[in-house]
Amino acid sequence: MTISTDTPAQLRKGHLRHGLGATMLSDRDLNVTDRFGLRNQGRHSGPPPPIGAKALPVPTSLLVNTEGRIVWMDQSMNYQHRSDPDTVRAALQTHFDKRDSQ
Amino acid sequence: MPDIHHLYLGIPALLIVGGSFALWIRAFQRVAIPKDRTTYVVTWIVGGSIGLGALMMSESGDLTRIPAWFAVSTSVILLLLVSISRQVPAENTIRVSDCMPTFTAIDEHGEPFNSLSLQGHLALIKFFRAHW
Repeated sequence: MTISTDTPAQLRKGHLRHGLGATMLSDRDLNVTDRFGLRNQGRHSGPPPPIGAKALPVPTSLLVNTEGRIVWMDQSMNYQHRSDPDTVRAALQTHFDKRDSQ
Repeated sequence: MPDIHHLYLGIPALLIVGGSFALWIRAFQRVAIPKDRTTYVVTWIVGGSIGLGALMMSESGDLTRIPAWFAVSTSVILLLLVSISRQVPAENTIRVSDCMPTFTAIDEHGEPFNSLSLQGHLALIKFFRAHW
């Protein structure tokens, strides 16, 4: 699942462009981002409204287990970095394996 | 006839900045921007400085200044983007072992989504900035 400040229309375009199977959620007003405490408190580096949003989330990947607890997290301290796909894959593998062995 | 000696600086400056910018974009598309960006930053400072030197050697209104202008303006924009890229999460940011907060949102089809539907499932949640 992804969460961003995109509008649903922008998300639909991204969904098609990237061929994603994931649910993509729109968080224009950062209500969900604030529930997670992930609003960037540093300098806003995106376009202002109406093109962009008034603030942006810190790029973060989270893995949530079947009990609803965060079991893994990867956060970029610099927006030009992203979670390394291999690192995410390894975390998924580890936690899927853990779940399957229970 | 205009003095075109500054072209010998303007064009290399543009090649240095343009080439490193192309490499940067390529790395960005592959999600492979290095954690240590010093090499890029130094390259942009060098390219921009050479371009600035070319501008100082030439007269205003001279069209042969265009490569130098591109080199200087591109390097300034790229350095600015790097300087504002630091991210600062809130003090109450979520941490490993915390319970995921419940939330509702609208999905890409405009349909409501409730996080309670994730109960009993392993979920990967990715917060990203946006498409522009």
